[in-house]
Amino acid sequence: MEGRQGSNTRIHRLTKHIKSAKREDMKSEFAILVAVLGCLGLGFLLEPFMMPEKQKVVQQELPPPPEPIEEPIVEPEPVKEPEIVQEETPEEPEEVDDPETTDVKKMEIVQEDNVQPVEEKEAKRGPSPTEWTHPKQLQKKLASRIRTGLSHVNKDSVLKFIKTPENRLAVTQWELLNRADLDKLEDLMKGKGVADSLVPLLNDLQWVSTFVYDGELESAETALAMVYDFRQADPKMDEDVTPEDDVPVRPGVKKRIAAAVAVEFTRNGWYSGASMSNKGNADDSKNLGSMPGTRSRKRKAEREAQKNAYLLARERYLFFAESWDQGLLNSQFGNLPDWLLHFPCGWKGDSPFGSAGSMRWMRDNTSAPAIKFTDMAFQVPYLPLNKFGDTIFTPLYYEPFNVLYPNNFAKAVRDIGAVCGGCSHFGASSSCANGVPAITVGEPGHCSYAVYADGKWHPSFTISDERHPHWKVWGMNTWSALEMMSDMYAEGQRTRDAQLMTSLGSMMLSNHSADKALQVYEMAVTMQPLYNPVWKLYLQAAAKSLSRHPSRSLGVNDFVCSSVAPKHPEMCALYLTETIYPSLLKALRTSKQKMIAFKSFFDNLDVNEKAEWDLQKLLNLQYDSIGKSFANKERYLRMVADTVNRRPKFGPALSWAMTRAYGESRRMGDKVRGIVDKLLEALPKDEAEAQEKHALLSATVVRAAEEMCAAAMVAPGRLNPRDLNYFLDLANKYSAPYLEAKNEDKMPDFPKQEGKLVSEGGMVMMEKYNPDQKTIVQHAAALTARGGRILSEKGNHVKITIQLPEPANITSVVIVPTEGCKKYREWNIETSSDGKNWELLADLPDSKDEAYALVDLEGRSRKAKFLRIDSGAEQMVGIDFRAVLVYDKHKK
Amino acid sequence: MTSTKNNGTRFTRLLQFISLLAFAVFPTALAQEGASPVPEAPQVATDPAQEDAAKSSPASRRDATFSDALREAGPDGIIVFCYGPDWNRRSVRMLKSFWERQEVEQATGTARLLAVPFYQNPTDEQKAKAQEIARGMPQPPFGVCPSILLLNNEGKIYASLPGMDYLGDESGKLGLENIAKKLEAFRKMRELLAKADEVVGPAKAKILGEMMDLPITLPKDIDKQIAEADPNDTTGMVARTSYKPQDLLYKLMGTQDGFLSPQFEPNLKNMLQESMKVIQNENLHMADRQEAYFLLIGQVRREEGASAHFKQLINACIKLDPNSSAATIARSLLEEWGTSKASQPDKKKKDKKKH
Repeated sequence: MEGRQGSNTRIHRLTKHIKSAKREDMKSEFAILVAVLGCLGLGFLLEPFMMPEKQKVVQQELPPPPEPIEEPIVEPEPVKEPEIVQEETPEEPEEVDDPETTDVKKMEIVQEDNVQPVEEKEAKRGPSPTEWTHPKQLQKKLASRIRTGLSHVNKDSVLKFIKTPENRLAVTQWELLNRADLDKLEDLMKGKGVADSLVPLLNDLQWVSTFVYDGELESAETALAMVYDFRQADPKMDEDVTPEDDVPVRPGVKKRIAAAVAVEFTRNGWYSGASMSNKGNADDSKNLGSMPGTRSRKRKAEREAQKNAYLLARERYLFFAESWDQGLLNSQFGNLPDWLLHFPCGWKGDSPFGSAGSMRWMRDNTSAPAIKFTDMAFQVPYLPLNKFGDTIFTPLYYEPFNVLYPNNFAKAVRDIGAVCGGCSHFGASSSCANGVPAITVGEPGHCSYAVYADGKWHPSFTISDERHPHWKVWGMNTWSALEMMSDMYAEGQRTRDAQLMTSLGSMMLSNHSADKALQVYEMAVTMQPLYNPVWKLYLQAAAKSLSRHPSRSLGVNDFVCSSVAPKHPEMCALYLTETIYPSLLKALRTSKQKMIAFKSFFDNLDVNEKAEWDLQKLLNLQYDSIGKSFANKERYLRMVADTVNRRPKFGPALSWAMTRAYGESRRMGDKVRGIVDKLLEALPKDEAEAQEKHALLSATVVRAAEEMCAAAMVAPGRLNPRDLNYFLDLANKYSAPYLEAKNEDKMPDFPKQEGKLVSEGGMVMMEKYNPDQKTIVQHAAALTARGGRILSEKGNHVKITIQLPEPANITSVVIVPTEGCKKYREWNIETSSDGKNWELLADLPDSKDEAYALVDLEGRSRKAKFLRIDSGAEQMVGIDFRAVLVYDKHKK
Repeated sequence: MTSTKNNGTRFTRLLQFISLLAFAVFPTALAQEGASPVPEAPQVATDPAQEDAAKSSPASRRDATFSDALREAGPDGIIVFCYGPDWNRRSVRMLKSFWERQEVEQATGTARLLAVPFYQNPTDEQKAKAQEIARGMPQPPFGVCPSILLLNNEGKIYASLPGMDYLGDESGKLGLENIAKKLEAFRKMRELLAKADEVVGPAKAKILGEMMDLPITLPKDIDKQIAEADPNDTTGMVARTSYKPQDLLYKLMGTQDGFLSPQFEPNLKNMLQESMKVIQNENLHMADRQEAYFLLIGQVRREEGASAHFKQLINACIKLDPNSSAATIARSLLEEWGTSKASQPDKKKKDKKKH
């Protein structure tokens, strides 16, 4: 976590970049011309990445309009739009480059990085209930008030403005209205008693801030309708129960629960539906709140539907509110930062794991210290078949046992069993039910979960580094986005200020003050570079200006790289590829400039950060942008090699560089071989000194060699024996030290084959590599005396090709599959002398569930240099062999 | 590959055969039903040692550390209450409302009593203190609190009662009943072990076999001792202790890891024969025998839907032990699947995914 000093450093960096940009601009009039040309296509390029200013309105109908308030509605006075104090702006917005607006060096940031933003004192007064019943007018009023208070936009005035609680409240309320369908909100607020119930919350700066900013608020009117429903069901929402222990708790826990539940259930569309728990409070008519409702003329059925419109959300709210009051949740729950409350409160509202019955049971029977929830999935027996022989992939797996587990799916899973999905859901559910944040996470062919404890996410039940949380952050479900959001909220006050500034910018944009909006967005970006939404808005607003001024673009590029890349390289790459490069690459006119921009990313990478993400997308974009000159490409590839040399965990970049180098000409040639040799210099010379680095990079070299070889194989007329031998040498050299250990498992007893083993040293090439092999040498690039592990990507009819070290008269072949692969045996084996024309050697019958497959030509032989094995039709398997052994009995 | 139609015909014949076999089973089963008593409510132990303990000061059996408890532990071992001082308010409340009440001492014989804190974010001082208290003690399963651990006088867990399913409400009334049940079972185990020491051969195997029904964790080598005492399994206890329903299920469904092969076709004749062997084996646990019926019920449902055979098998399963959970499940199947769409024969479904 960076402190104030960190913030100032960042600001200093941006200022430096921008100042140098200005100097550069003065020198280069030509750059402006290039930039202007670039502008022509800019809008089109940025379009896919632009976020609409107003959030999408979910097409969920609100309950019918509430009964009108009986008291006469006092029409508010027409809002007199105050004169907006506009700075003189030319028709074509000037570049915001004057020291007054962009030199943010002096920006005073007094807040500290406390976990929760502290609203030091309450706003004295907010809009009245009557004002809230006319949200359109209210939004105008708020905008007007804000504009009046912020007549002149510069760094000092904005900071000063958002320091005042009244102003913070006004901006936050404006943002709330900005995220609502105002007609529907008006219908809601005019319901009898609704405004009186909600306005104390809406005018409470702390509450409204968390409601608007600590989650991803969509359809604010629906979320508010839910909150009203909760208040009806729990008239004591505002009361705090004093915990019996001495641990101090921030007041307003239940109000925060209400905000988190409403925002998450709205965002996910978990509105109505039958209660999933007979034990749920929804069955208790005393607890049912009367929804903002209809007149008596409405039919009874409609009233029922209306009453239950937010049943699922209400059950969830009541679960947490009651559990908290009764002291049944993990004590840390009351002091969780508000953004973290969203995870337990927003846990799977539409899943039986999220039913009130399941959650109660887990709360009462799986309560453990936060970090211990990482073990909780192991309570569930891993059983793909139930006692009736029905598989987990049908509903019949649990159905027979419903009678023993009414309304308690979690307990059923614990007792009956599950596979990875059920186990992980059980682990995460038990954590959330006890008030400890957790999520489930998708991995290739697997489901795991993660628990938030001790200030970070702890992956559990995991088998891969490629993780996709089942929780969208800013529309993304990448692990990097989750981590970046966590880091962002950890810098509480700074983040909240950046969010307020973003709202100010949006308000100005809606008032057609694009130049001012740009300034405020820039301040917000500087304040909190991890706040993803503001980057989108800022770059959208700045597109024109950036493309006109290349060095200014470079400044922004450097700022993104220096502030995001060290800890969140994947997110930085995403910013670059999706938002920065489209305008930057148009603005930069020379390859040298581009190299400077690209290098900035690599220079800022953390040494220990792994590249377990789609690094190739960024590399390809950069590589394809530097021009056609071979020298430029060579320079770029060497830069990548240099990066890998210093940061071996970015090994996949080396593999990429080698294959791209080879891809330039589809044959090695001395020039390309020269580049590959240079790339190989990234490998440590002394294995003993850098064993880990050697292992990491060897894997990528082997992979690259195989890929290049495979490419050579499929390129018609390009098969070059010299190249193949070169690759084979590479593969053998770099995989050999790591394969011995892998082949120690006992092999099955298959009949001893006569003659010489002719496959040892044979090169393995496959069409689809298993993605898990990016950073470790898991399989034989070259076959060994014991056979050699071969693992392909899953898929039907995956083929592997083996190039024997020299032509042989094949008399028998032994294939040893792994346990998981042997039952899907339906392989066919072909041979070839030239790698082009293939002849069937054997079509193995369906699975016999045997430990090995033997193809014995019974005295005959087949001359071949190549062997090809097809994995068969089973989609989910591919090839997973422990060994392939080819014999020639005529050789001794 | 055999067609479904042929399967059905063949299967019908086999089921008729099964029905006859099942009739042969029922009388025995019913006799056993009468013989197997409904578990009685636990009784507080009344052995002399406990009476003596009750006469002494109850507080004298409460220890400050696990080492103390282990040193002082008698035949009833140690009972531990696990709580989370800085994260689990309910368990902290239960210290007073349940654990420290005198009834706990009265219901726990001569067992030593110990409360052990498990912190979430301890201070250094708390950490040191907690370590001192729990040194040498096994962790509660999955760290669940509140929970009760019951350990023998060597410090090994023979039973655990994690969470409110076992403890009931904060008064711990149900917890106390469960402690008494476990303690009773533990004493019974000791008694049987002592008896078994006095005999050899099949007689020993039979006594040890009786222990297998006790609702506690038994010493690890009991099944080995049974096998050694009765190598020819004349008592049937070796089969009883070594039988694993999942092995039968996986064998008959042609899988080693629980995932079905796309090529797998059940061998119906084999399935019926193998299942019937289990169903008819009176030495096996009733629940295991009923599970063998489940396997048949599942296969018939997949092949024939809610056929007469399906209902016949369900009734047979219920009659084997009408008071069991398996019978409850079977009855519900008759209601749920007996007429519903779910009871239609399945189209061939195979696992597409491996997790």
